Amino acid sequence: MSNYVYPRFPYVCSPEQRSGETLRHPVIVIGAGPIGLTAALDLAARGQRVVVLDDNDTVSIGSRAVCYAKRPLEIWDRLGCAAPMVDKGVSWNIGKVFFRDQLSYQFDLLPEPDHHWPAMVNLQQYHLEEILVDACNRSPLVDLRWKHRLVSLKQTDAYAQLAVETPDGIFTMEAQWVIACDGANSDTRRMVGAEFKGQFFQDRFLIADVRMKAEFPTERWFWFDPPFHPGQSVLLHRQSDNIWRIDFQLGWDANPDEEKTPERVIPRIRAMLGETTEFELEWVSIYQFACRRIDNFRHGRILFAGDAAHQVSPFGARRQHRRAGHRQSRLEAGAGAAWRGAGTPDRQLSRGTCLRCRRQHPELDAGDRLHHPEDASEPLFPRRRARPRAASRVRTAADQQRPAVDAHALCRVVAEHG
Amino acid sequence: MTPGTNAADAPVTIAGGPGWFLNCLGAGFTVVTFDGTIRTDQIVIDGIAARVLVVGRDIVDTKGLLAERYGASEGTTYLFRPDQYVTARFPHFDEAAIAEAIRRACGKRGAVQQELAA
Repeated sequence: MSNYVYPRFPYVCSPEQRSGETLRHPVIVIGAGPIGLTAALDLAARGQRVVVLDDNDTVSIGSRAVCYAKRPLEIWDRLGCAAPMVDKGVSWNIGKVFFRDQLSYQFDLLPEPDHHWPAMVNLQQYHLEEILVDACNRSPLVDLRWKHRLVSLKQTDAYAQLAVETPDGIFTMEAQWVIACDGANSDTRRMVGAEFKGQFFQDRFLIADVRMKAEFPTERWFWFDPPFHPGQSVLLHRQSDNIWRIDFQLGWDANPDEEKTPERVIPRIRAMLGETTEFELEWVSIYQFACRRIDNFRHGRILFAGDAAHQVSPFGARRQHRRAGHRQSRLEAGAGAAWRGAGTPDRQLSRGTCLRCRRQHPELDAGDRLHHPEDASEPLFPRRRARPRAASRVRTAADQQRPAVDAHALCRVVAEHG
Repeated sequence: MTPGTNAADAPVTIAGGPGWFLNCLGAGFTVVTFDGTIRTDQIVIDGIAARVLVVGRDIVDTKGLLAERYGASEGTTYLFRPDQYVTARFPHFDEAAIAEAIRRACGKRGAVQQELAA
């Protein structure tokens, strides 16, 4: 089904596993996704040796994150990676919102000149990770270890002890610091007994990578209640290699296992593109939004970053993005951990990862408002740039049915997730 | 640009050629001052060396966008963290105040230690 060929990174049995000697590493990062790889590069940029463990041996399956805004690109530029991302990716500024079959709202993310990086670039997450892995492999200070799965951990005041499983069995590693970047379903978070509280949205979305030669311009298009998917929302993004990302809102009652099948997905895409457009389905997933955060970003020697620490709903393509002066992206939390971690005293690390306390020390506060994750559901688009044509009509009509994508209306506190 | 904000980029001229302001930040703490009379190259405190960039001497704000985006007037001085965040902002270049801000940003406080709740 897929034309993209996933790389297979080599598994290497480490000398320490072969010899049985337990080494104490200064920093071990768990998870080689965008956040873990970026944290490793940032540590290396400061002359800090780092080991990264990933239980897999390839990049992100599927396009997943897709959208990267100017701020993450600035961070990756500081780490020497941004240019290939922009070269490979698709830049866009214009977004259009349709109600039924009418254009009702349009925005332009960055009309001003004199900015180095584009407002937004679309790139499948597997391409993004290839670029970050390549940068890590070129760094003598980053040791990427594939097929290394963290099984359990213990810790003292001075270090953490990790039981790590590889194809050659389980062995022990030690670390003065661990940065857990193992995602929304973090095992590391579970191992330290941390809570992951917030809200998740009672809704489901079908997300699909579709390869096609399409007439759509390179703009983000969003539909409320389109004729081809009535009563629901649809989102369309262009990515590289003629792969388009299409998200269909399905509603809370949708059965994820059924909806992922080609028999269900293909008719939806066919209804949207018409009978004559040729396309191939590359990847499909069912997604549910959540805004959750860990109770404390630091648990002893374990620091949490990325989705393992805080998960925000991706409304307005904000998950890897930070609006200037307001929200801290997951990317920056990882980068922040890197510069704070290298050579700083313990108390500073506690302070650095405690959000409430940073209000007292604005110079430490990177504008992080994640102590109220539900604030993250504010829309991205700057209202001063809006040229709404029938925006009020959109809201009125949408109110008559279930609101299609209204973060606050969709959000129901169902349960606290540990 | 208030402390805690990520540094805004701007086109500048460096060594006679076009460049970007953010590429001047990132190698440790950086002080950027709009006071063209400053001769200092670096401020060293507690073993941390912060590079001092003087607008006019080290970087030229050719289009005036740096001053505009940073709300700068003569003397305005910024301290940036290694991750390109605004750590502190001063109306004048004050070496002692900058040094104290660096110490504070690194968790090395002066006489008063505040214990923060976890």
